[in-house]
Amino acid sequence: MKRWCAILCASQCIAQNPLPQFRDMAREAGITQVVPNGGTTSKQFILETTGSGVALIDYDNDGKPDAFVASGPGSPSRMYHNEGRGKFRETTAELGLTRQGWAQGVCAGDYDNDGYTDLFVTYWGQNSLYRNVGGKHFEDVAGNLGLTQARTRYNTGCAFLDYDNDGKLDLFVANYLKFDFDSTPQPGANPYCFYRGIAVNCGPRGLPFDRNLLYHNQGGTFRDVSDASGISKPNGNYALGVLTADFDGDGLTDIYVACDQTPSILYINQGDGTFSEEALLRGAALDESGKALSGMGVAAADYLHEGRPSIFRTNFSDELETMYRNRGKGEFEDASIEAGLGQNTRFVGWGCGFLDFDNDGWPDLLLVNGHAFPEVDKLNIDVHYRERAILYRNNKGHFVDISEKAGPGITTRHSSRGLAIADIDDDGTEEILVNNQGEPPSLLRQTAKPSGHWITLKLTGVKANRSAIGARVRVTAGTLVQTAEVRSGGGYLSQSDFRLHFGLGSSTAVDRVEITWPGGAKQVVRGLEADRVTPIREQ
Amino acid sequence: MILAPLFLFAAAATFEDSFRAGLIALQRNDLKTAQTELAAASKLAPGNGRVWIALAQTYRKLNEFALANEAAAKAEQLGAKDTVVLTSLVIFYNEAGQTFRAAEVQARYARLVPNDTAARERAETLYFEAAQPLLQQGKFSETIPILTSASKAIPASAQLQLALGVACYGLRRFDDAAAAFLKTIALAPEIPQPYLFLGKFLDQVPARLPEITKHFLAFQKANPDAFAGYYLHAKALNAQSVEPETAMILLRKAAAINDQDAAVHFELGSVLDRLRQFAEAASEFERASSLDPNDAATHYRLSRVYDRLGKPEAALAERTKHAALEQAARAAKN
Repeated sequence: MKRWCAILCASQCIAQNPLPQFRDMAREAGITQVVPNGGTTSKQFILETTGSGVALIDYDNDGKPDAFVASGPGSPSRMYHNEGRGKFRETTAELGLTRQGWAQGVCAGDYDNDGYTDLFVTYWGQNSLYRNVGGKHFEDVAGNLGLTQARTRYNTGCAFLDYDNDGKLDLFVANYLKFDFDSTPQPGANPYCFYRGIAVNCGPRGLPFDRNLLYHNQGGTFRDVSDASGISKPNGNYALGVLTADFDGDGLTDIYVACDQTPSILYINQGDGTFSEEALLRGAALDESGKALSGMGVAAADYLHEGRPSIFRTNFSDELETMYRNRGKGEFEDASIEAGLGQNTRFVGWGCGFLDFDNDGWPDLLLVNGHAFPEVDKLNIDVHYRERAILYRNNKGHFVDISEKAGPGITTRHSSRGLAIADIDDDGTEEILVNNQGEPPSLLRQTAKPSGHWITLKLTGVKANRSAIGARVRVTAGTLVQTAEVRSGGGYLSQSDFRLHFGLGSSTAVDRVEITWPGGAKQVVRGLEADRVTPIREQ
Repeated sequence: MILAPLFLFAAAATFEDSFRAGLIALQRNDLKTAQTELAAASKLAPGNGRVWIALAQTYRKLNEFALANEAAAKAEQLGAKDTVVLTSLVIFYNEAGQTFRAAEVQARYARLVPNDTAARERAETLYFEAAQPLLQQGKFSETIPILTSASKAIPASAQLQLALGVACYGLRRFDDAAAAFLKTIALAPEIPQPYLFLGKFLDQVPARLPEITKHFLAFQKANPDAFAGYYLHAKALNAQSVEPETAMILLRKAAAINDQDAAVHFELGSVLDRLRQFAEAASEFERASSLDPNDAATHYRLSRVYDRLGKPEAALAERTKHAALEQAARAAKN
């Protein structure tokens, strides 16, 4: 009898921590349209390689995140309404989202505090600020609100943030480089147009740098404050993914920008309307040997339960992924190998995000991959244009690569770019929307619910911006203490759900939630039940 | 030389007459007669590989290279199991400057005479001679097919595996390079080169690190007086971020044997940095920097530890050196 009990106990222990199985349910969900992004077997220009992002936002306030997919020419960027029960319905045309072009990034925020989430889409060309009109229609107001650009720019990552804590969302836009079809050399034209001996599209090296942009929300219109704020000062970076957070814990939102083949940027908010670029000084620009890597996507999490956001960045093949551990006060060190991330160097990484797929209270990490050059397949080497994703389980601060055993949603090969995360059906497991070049998007979902408990917090600002972007949350459940921040943009040119999801492990309740709203006001909520979405309004 | 064995096997009747006459003419360098007689013989016995190799030799001497190659190809096809044809073909291809083909034929011959060690060694030498000039010119993509074929033909050659590893490394095919170097180690564990090459790209083959670490440990134990063994073993541990205390001890041993190697001091500085022993880390990076002042990475690491030691001016100076070296490296690349 004793022996049978022991066997039963062992099997229960195993069952508590099974490997997740992810499946792509995009087709069943109705997200079926191909996302064009230039050539699929050969790309003549770098512009074909970088797009594009995705978003999971609740545009009509029905409580369910909807799916937005940014697209290159040949298709409009599409919106799919979440109909519930795992089904989506395309609403692109009825919402007025008809524009076609080289869409790159997407970020969201209620810039006019009217209670509806607005959408900003970056382009090679003029950006679009889609004002959400009552959840029924989007109108592009970029031109009317001071966001018109005087020349064609290669805008990439973006984020709404309230850098001066005035309750109105400002807007940061990264710029990759200066590009036009006429003056950019053809593949093979110079040494920057080769990869391992084969002719490929040129760049980014060899193409001129551009500068990043910051727009201040004047309460109705935006004003370009890039020069005055110091944002435009760095001039030697190919900027892609954007991540905002209060990295140094001073109550002000800072900005990190993943840069391709050049040092990444960390703008530290000085609190007087200006930013100081301090990535090199703070150890977040280069790898531990002082090399600039090819940064693409970027995400933040308190992966060690230290109460501070560390930075994860995806890079090119032959490079490690980077984990910059936040040692406090915004001082970073390259902890990639210590964190268990020195495992994959054959992938070109793009979209990335932390999610707690097993609800054990430790944020896991997903990144999606795909080479920049389709031509790489001709080389017959272990680097491919289409690649599987990488899923790391966070084992109490150390990441373990479980990709090969995590189901076809992870192992199927695509040339992926942006990804966004949300619990689309409020069942306590987070889903992932992935933009795949030249293919329909993927919607990754676990086939079984994890055993851990969870809570999702939906914050609404009152004095702070309505989206609560920049609000920092500390959740205590038993011995688990986790922190997270509401964020616009992030990952690779993408927007995840504003709601914050926390795995709670075996805890069936949350003892304490402490919210620090933008501006510094603190609010404490106690005794919340687990396994539900809980709204919290700023008091 | 090529003709001697063929005389012995010249067949009877009209074919025999023509073949013999052709061979004699070829030996006398009467190339026109040789061509006529051997062509006639080849018509009489078109399935005889020996006629075709004699004809190939004749055409080559007549500078009819396309015809020579065509005849040699027929000889290769018809005489695939004929040791006389194969040895003659090796000579033909070698004299024609087609070293890779000579190696391929020699390897085929060696398989027919498995007890002939010299035949296998000759094939190994020919393969290496075919690959070496390409390796030296950095033509790695052209070298790899030769060495891949070579390592299939002569799987027990450490020399060929090592060369294959170098070619793959040159093309940044790190996993293939690691596989070749590990095979080299399996074949000849006493050769230091594969260990040293593996040590150059440990960060590119994370999945193989546990296996590589075992080999490095064995190399260290087999060479207790060599600093490289301790250094490489420590480097493999550091690449996995495991056993920092062991790595520190190993690196101190390496430095005790050879204090003049900048890489050892850099690695030791990195371990101490990871262990948050910043003052000691700074000393090691300083030593590395004095030995190799042009290594940008050392200046960067020094700047980081100076920051942590509260020496902002020293940190700035190192950052400046790092930036200048990086810029110079980029300029040189362009």
